[in-house]
Amino acid sequence: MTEPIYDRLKAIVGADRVSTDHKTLEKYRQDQSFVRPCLPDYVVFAESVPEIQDVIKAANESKTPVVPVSSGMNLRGAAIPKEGGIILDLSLMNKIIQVTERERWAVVEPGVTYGQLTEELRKRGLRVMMPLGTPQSRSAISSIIERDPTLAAASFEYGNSIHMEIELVLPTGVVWRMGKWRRRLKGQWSTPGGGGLHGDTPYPWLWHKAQGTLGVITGMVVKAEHIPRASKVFVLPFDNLAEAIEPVRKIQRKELGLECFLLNNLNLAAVMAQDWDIPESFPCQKVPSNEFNSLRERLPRWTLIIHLAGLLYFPEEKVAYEEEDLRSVCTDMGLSLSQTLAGEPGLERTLLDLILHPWQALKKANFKGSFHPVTLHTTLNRVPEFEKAVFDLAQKHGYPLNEIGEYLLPIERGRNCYYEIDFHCDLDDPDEVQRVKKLWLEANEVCVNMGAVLDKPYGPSADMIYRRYDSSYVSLIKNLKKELDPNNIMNPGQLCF
Amino acid sequence: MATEKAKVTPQKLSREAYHALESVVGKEWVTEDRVVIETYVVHCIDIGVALGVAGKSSRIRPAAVVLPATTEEVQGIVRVANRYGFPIVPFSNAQLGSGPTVSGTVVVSMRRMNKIQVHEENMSVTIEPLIDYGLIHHEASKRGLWLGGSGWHGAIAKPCSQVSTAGIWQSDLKFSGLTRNLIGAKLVLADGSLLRLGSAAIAGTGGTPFTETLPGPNLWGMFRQAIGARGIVTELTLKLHPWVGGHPFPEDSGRPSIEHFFEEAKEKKFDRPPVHPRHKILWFEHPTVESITEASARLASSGIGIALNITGNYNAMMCSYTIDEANQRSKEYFGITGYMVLAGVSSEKQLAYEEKVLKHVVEETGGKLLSAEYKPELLDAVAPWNVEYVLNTETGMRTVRSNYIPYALPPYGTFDEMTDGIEIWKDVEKDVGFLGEERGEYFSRMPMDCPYGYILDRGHQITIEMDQFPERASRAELGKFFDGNFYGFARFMVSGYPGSWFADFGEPFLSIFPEIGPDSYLMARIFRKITNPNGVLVPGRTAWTDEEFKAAVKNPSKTMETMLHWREHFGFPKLELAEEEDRWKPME
Repeated sequence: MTEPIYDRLKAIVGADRVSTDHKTLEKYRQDQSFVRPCLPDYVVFAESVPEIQDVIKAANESKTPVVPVSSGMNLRGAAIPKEGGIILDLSLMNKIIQVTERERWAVVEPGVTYGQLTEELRKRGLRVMMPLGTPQSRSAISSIIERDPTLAAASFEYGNSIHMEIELVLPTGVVWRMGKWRRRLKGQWSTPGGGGLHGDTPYPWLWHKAQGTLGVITGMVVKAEHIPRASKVFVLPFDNLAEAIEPVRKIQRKELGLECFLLNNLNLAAVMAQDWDIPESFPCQKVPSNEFNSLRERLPRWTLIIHLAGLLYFPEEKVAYEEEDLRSVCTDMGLSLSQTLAGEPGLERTLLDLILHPWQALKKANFKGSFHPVTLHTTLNRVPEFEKAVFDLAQKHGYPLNEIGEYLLPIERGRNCYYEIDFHCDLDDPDEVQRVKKLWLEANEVCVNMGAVLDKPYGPSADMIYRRYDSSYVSLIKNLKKELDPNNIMNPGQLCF
Repeated sequence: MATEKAKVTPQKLSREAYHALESVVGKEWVTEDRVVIETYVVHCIDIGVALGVAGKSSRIRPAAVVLPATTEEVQGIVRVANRYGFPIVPFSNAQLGSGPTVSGTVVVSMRRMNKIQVHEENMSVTIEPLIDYGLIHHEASKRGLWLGGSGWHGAIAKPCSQVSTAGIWQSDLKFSGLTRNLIGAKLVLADGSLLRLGSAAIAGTGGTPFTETLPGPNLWGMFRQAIGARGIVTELTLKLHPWVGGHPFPEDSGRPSIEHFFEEAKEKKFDRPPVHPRHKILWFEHPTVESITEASARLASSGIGIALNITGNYNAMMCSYTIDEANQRSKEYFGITGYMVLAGVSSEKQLAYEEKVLKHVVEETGGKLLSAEYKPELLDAVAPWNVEYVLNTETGMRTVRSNYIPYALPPYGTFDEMTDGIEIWKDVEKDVGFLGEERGEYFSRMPMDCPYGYILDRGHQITIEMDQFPERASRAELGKFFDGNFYGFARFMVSGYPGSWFADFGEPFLSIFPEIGPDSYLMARIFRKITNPNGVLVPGRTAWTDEEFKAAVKNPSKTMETMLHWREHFGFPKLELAEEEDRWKPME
C-alpha cells in the first residue's frame, strides 16, 4: 500500500469517502461464487463523473488497479479484485435523472437499483424488463450491460434490447458518450433519447460483459415498458425436458405470450414456498422448509409458464384472443392448458408476482445458503443433451439430482435459448464446498466442450472460455484493451486481460 | 494541369501484383479492361464517386476489378494487396462506400459469392455478399419465415453491404432494423486473417452462429457500419422471424421479379400485388404534424402492428408513375398521412383486435382512417405503397427519385425530431436553398410540411428522413447539394443532435466536430490502428491516422473548408490544433 495514492483519493472525494478499514474492505473480498477471494486496498465511494475521472487518472499515474462496483450484487465473482487496488463503489450515484413516458425510457446512474427503478417507473405505469433471479438491490446498469437475458426475452421486441445510449469514463479518465446524447457543445450535452445499442452507432456492444475492463459505465438510457393492464398466466406441466421443447417452439412461432419460460420443480417450489423470504445478501443462512420439500415432491418435473398480457388499449380483449389462440395450439398438441398445478391455490398470483418482481426467484438461496449456476446459450433442440450430460456428471460426483435447479428461457421466439443449472451448496461445510466446486467446474467444461456458449467468463471459467475463442478474436480484443487501457488498470486479470 | 479534354487515366497495378491476383482467383476473374472498370464507376451511387465522375477524376477509377468466389480467395487478395501495397475496396451493392478513395485501388467485386442457407429450426439465414433482400425472402417464406423487413432500397439491396453502412427498415417498429437482427459474420481483416463474429467465434459451437451473445466484449460494436474499412464481410448470419404471409413466388422462378409473379403486372398494374394472407395496411390522416406524431407515439407503445411510419408528402414520389405526376402531386400535397402494417401471426383474431386499437387511437388523436368513405381518391393514390412494398420491396423501388442521395438523416431521437426537422428544413431553404425547383421539382420542399418519420423500436426512438435530389452529372448541383448537406450537419448540431448520419462515416466529419462524443475521432483512430494500420482497406474512409490528419489540414479539401465555414456561421467555438498537431480541439 502506498500513501500517495491514498492521499490523492482523499483529495479527490474527501476522507470520509475513502476507506481502508478492514471490515469495509472485507465486503468486497468475495461473494457467493467460487471465484478466488482477494482483498482490495481501498474503497472509494464516488458521487460524480468528474470524481470517477480523477480517481482513474490518479490510478493511472500510480498504476493502481481499479475495480468498479455498482451495487455489489453480482453473485458470480465479476467484481472481486484480482490484484487488490481500488474498489470504485458507485452505489452513491443513484439518481434517476429523467423518465419519459412518451418514449418510455429512463436515464439512470450506475447506483440505481432494479428495486428503485421499478418503484419509480411504477408511479407512471411503466416497468423495466428484468432477468429472473436478479437481486432487487442489483444495479440496473450492471445487470443490463451484462446482458442477463430478461424474463421477456422470448418476445423479440420486449426481450434483450433493453438500453439505448451509454455514458462511460474510459480507462484514461476521458468521458465519452454514445448515441444521441454524445454531443457536447460549449460545455452542454445534448439531450438523450436515441441510438446507442441498436442505433446509428452500435459501439456499446464493445462494453457488454466487459466487467469494467474497458471503462466505467456512468450513465445509461434504459428502456421501459407499460405494466400490463390485464394478465393471465397459464402453465403446462411436463415429465421431462425433451417433451417440452416442441410445445415451446410451436407456441413461440405463434408469438404467443409476453413472457414464456420453464422452471423445474426445485425452482418453482422455491418461488411458491410461503415460509421463505428473499435473502438480503448472498451467501445467506440456510432455512429449512417443509413446504418447499413437499412442493418439490408434488410439482411436475418441469413447468412451462406463459404470461398473456394486455397493454393500454382494450387489454382484456387482447388477453382473450391470445388465450383462445394458445388453447388452440395446445389442443392441437394434445396438451391441457391450466392456471394451477398440483391443486396449489393462488399459483397464478404467485407467478405474476414473480414476472413483475423476478427477484422472488432468489428464495431458492434459502435451500442451502448459496447456489452456483452453470449458465449457457444453445439451441432449443440441444438443451436435453446438456441436461443429460450435466446430470450424468452430477450423479458421478454423488450430487443428489433432486437438488439441481433448472431454468430454461427461449430467446426471441425460440431462435435459441438460455439455460441455467444451479448446484446448491452449504458454504459452511468445507467438504461440500470442495465437491460442488469440482462439479461446477467440470459441468462448465462439459458444456463448453459440447458446444455451449457459456455466459459468464469469470473466475475459473474465464480461461476455459477464452481458450476456445478464435485467436483473431482474442487478439483484437486484447489490442483494443491495450489501446484503451495502456496501463491495464481497469479490473486487471478479468476476462482474457 | 487538367484541361477540359484531358484524358482520365486510371493508375495501373504493377504486373507482378496483377499476376498475383490472377493466381489467387484465376485469370478470368481479374481484369483491368477499361470498359469493365468504367462499369463499376458508372453503376456506383457512392457520393464520392458521383463527385469524381462529375469532376472527371481518375482517383475514382479502379486500377483493376477482381472477383473472388470464396472467403479464402478474399483472404488471398488481401494478402496480395499487403504484399504489393495497393488499397482495395469491397463492392457488392454499388451504394455508399463502394467507391475507391485513392488512385490505384482494386475493387473486390463480390458478385460470385452468392450462397444462401436458411436454418429453419433456429430461424436464421446465412448469406454471402451477393444475396439480396429479395432472395432471402424468396427462400425464407417457403419455410414460414422472413427477415423482418426491408428498406427503401429495393429488393436487390444486399445485407452484407448494408451491414457496413445503413439498415433502416420500414418495419423497424417491431424489428428494429439490421443491427438488431445480426447474429454472426465472417470478415476478412486487413492482414488477410479471418474473424468470425457471433457464437461461431467459439470453437465447438458449430459452424453456423446461433446467437450474437458472447461472453465478454462483443466485436460487433467495432465492425458494424465500418464501411468496409475495418474488414470485408464475406458471410453474414441474420435472424428470421415467423411469417404467415404465405410463399408468394413460384418455386422455379429464381430471383423474384414482379413481372413473373403477378398477373396484374402484365397489365401494368404491377404496383398492386395481392395482399399477403393475414396482413393489412391501414392509412390515416391527421390535421397537423403534432397530432400525427402523438398518434404515432401512442400506436407505437400499444404493442400492435409490425410497421408504423409517417409518410407526409413522400407519397407524391413513392406512388407516382412519372416525374410530372410526382411534381404535380407534391405541389398539391397529399396531406399529413401515415400507415401501419398489421400482421395476424397467431390468428385472424389478432388482426381484428389490432385494427380496433388502431382506429381508436387515430380517432382519439383527431385523425381519420382513409377508407371508401373518407378520401377514397387519396387511398387509391397511395395504393402502390402497399404491404409488399413496406415489407419486402419486391415490387422494386417505386420512386421517381432517379437522383436519390440521402440528404440529411439525423441520428435516432425522440418524437420531437419531427418538428425539429421542419424548423431545420426551413433554415436550409433560407440559407442554402433547395435543389430542383428550377426544373419544376418540389420534392426537396416536402419535409418543410412533414418529414418522413420512421417509428422505430416500439416508439422508444424514431428517425426522420429529409432529402434533396441533385442531378448526378451536374457538378454545380452536387456542389450545392454538399453545401446544404454540411449546413444541415452543423444545424442539427446546434439543435442538440450529434450531427447527422454522416458523422458515423467518420472523416472529415468527426475531426472537424470534436464536439461529437466528444472526440469520437480518437476512438475511430484506435479502431483504425488495430484493424487497418496500413490503410489497405479503403484508406481514410472512416478514420484518419495522425499523419493523415496532418496532411488533410495542410491541404484542406473543399469538404473540409465548407464544414469549417458552417462551424463559423453557426458560432461554434474556433478550432485550434493540439500541441502535437494531430487533432483539433475547440477553444472553449
